[in-house]
Amino acid sequence: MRRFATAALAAALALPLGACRKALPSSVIVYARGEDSESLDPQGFDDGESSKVADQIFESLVSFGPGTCDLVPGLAESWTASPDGLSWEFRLRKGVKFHDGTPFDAEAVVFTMQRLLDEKNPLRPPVKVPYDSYYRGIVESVAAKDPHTVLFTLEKPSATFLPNMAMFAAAVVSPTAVRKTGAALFGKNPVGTGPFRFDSWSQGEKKITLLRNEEWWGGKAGVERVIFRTIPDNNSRLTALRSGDCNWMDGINCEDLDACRKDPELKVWSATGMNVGYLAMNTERKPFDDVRVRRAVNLAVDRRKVVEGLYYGSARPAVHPMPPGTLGYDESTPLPAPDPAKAKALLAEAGFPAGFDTELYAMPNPRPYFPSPLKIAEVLKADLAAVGIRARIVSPGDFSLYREATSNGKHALAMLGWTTDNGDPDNFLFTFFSKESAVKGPGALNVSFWVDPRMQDLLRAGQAEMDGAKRAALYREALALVADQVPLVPVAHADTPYVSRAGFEGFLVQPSGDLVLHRVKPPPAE
Amino acid sequence: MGRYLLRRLVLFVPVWLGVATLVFLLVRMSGDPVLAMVGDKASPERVAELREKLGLDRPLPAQYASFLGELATGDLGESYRTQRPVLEDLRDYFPATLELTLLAMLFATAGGMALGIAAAVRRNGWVDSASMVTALVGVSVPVFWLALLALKGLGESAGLFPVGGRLSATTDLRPLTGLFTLDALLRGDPAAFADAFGHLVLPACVLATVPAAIVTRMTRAALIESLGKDYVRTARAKGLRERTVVVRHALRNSLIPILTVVGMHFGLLLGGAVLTETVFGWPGLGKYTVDSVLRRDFRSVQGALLLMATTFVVVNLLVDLLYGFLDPRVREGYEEGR
Repeated sequence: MRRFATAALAAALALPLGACRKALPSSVIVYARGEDSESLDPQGFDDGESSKVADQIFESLVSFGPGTCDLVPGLAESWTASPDGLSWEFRLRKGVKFHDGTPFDAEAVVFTMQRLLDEKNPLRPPVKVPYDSYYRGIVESVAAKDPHTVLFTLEKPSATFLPNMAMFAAAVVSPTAVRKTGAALFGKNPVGTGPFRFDSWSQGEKKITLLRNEEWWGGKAGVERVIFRTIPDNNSRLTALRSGDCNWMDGINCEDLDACRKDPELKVWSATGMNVGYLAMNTERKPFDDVRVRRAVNLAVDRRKVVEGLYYGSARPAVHPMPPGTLGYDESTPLPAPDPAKAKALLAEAGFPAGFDTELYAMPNPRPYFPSPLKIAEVLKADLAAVGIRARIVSPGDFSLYREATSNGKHALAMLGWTTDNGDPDNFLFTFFSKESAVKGPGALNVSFWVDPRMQDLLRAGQAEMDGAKRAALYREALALVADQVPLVPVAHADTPYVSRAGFEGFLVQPSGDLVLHRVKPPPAE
Repeated sequence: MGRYLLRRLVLFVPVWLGVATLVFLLVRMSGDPVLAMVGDKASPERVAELREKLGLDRPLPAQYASFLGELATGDLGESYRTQRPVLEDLRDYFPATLELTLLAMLFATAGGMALGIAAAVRRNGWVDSASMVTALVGVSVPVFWLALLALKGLGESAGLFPVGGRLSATTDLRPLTGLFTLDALLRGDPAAFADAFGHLVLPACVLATVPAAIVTRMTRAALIESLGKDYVRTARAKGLRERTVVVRHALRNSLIPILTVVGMHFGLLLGGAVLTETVFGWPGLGKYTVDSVLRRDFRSVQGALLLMATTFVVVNLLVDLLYGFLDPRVREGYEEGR
C-alpha cells in the first residue's frame, strides 16, 4: 500500500514534467505584459494595456503612416476640408465589414462619434470617456451624407482635429454589437474592423485571445492568433520568454537589455517613443519665480549623463519639451551643455551666492519616460548640489498621490513627463504651458504653473492655423520662448524596448505607442 | 455539538460587522479614490460628477448606511479598475488562491510532519539537526527570492516547469469551479490537468516553505513532549512496535498544536500571497487586493477584505470542530459549555 502511494505521488509529480513543456506554435504571438487590460471599448479606456489590445481590433478613419506621425487614410479613403476649415468630408472605404458582419458605413461613424460627443447618450461607456474633451468643443456635429460619406462640422477651425481623428479614442465600433451587449459589456466583448478579431477574455487568467480577421481589407495578418497574458513581475516575464512560455514581452528592466541583445535566441525591438521626461520648476514659488534661478538649474543638469547612465542606450537627451519628428521641432538648437560655473554666477546674481535648500518631487513608480525615477532623481540632486542647490527628494506613496501633490503645486521641483496621444505639437505644448492646464486640481499638467501671454497667443494661433509651414513657425517661436524662460528642463525622450524570440520579423510600434502586430511575420515552422 | 456550532455562527455576526465597519472606515481614510480612477486627463467637472455618482459627496453616516444595505443584499458593487462586479472578480481570483493554498498546505503539512517526526524520533541525531536547519532556512529565506530562484532554476534552465500563470497560453479550459486542476478532471481533459498541475507545483512549493518549517518545529516539539509521557512508557512496556507507539499513541496526542498551526496558516494563505502571486504571475486574491489598494478601487478592496475575514473565521471554525473530532475531551466540553 505504502509503495503504491509513493509510486502514485511520484507519477503525479512527474506527469506535468513531460506533458506541459510543449513549444508554442510559431503562428501564434503570446505577448506577456505586466497588467491586464481594463476595457476594450476604444471610447472607454485610457490605460496603455487596453490600447495594446484594442489597437489590433479597431481602426480609426485616419491612421498614422508606418513609423511616423504622418496622417494617412485609415477607414476613410480620403477627406477634404472646406476653405474655412469648418466642414470636413470623409469618404469611407467601401466593402469593409465589422467582425460581426455588420457593414462599416457612415451610420457606424456617426454612432461612434455620438458616444464621444453626447453626454446623455445611453450607449456611452458608463465608467469614463477619458478622451471626450479631444472632440467635444471642437466638433459641433457629425452627419451621414450618404452611406459612404460623413460630414463633420466644427465649432472653430482646428489643426488638431485630424490628428485627434487618428487616435484610438475615435476608433469606429460596431453599432450592432454595442446595442446588443449594451455599453457596459461592450468593453469585454469588443467588435471592430481591424486585422484581428476578439475571441475571448479569461478574466480569471488575465488572458485575452484574438484571432486573425481573414477578411481584413488590408490583407491577412502574418500570424493566426495573438494571446495577451499577464505576468506582473519583470524578471519572471523575462524568464517566461527565455523558457519559451511566451514569445513576446514588454516592460523589460533596462539593465537586462544588454544581456537580451547578446542572446541569439532573443530579439530586441526598440520603438522611438514620442514622449518627454522633464524637470518642472514651480514658478509660483520662490526662488523659481526668478528666471535667473531657472536658467541656473538648466545649466546644472547634465542630461547626457542621465541618459547614458540610467537608460542603458534606450533614450536620447532632450533639447525641447517635445521629441524630434514633431511638427515645429527645431533641429538647429544644440543640446545645452552643463556649465556649473555659469550656473553659480547666475545664482549669485539672483541673490543666492551660497545656494539654497529646496525639495525635488520624484514619482515612486517607473513611467515610460522615467524608467527608474528615483535613481534619476539622485543624479539630478547631485547635479544641483554641484551648483549649490541642495534638494531633498520627496516621493509620495503612489502615482496618484504624486499627481495629487504636483497638480496642486505642493512641489518646488518636480519630475514629470508626457507621452503624446496623437503626435501633434499642441498635444505637448498646450499640455505643458497653457493657462488652462495651470488650473490647480486634477488635470493640472502645467506643473511649472508658468503662464505667459505671448505663449498663450502662440498656442491659440497654433490650434487654429491650418497651414503646416506657418504652424511650424509658430511652434518654433514657442520653443524659443521656452528655451529663454526655462519653466522646465527637458531631460530625456525614452525609447520603448520590446523583446521577442528570435526569428520574428516585421514588428512595428508607432511613435504614438500603438502596436502594429498584423505586420509580424512568424519564423518558418520547423 | 449542533448548539455549539450555532453559537459559533451567531458569534460570527458581530465579528463580521466589526470587520465590515473597519474596512469601510479604513478605505475612506486612505485618500480620494476618484482622482486615482479618472486619470490625468479628466476635467474637474468629471471628477465632481463621478464623486456624486459614487455617493462620495454624501456624509459618512449616509454612506455607511447604504454600504450596509448593499452588503445585506449581497451586492459588493462594481470595480472601477476591472469594470465589472466585484463579486465576479472574487469568483475568478479566490479559487486561484484556494487551489494554490490547498496544494501548498498539503505539501507543508506532509513535508513538515514527516521532517518533524523524523527529528523527534531521532532526537539530537543528524536527522534532527538537518531538519531543524532546513526549517530555519525555510522560515528565513525571503519568499520572492526563493520564487525567482525556483523559476530560473527549475523553470528556465532545467525546463521542468512552465513559467507564469495558471495555464499555458495555448491551453483553453472552460472553468467550472475555478479550481483548474479539478475543472480539467471534470471536463475529462488530462492534458489540461497536467498543464494546470505543472503550473501549480512551483508556486505551491515556494508558498509551502514557511508553513512547512513551522509545522516541522511544532511537530518535533509536541511529539518529543508526548514521547516523554507515562502512557508512552506503558505502551512500550506492553511490547508494542515502536512505530505503533509513535504514530498511534504519541503522534495522535500531538496533533492538536499541529492542527492549530496548520489552520492558522491555511487561513492566512487564503488571504492571498502577494509576493508569490506576483513572481509567478498567479492571478490570485492577494495581487488583486494590493492592485485595488494602489488604485484606490475601494469597492474591490472592501469586497476582498470581507472575503478574507470570512474565510479566516470559517477556517478557524473548522479547526475548532476538528479539535472535537481528534480529542473527546473537547467534544465533551462542547456539551458542557452550552
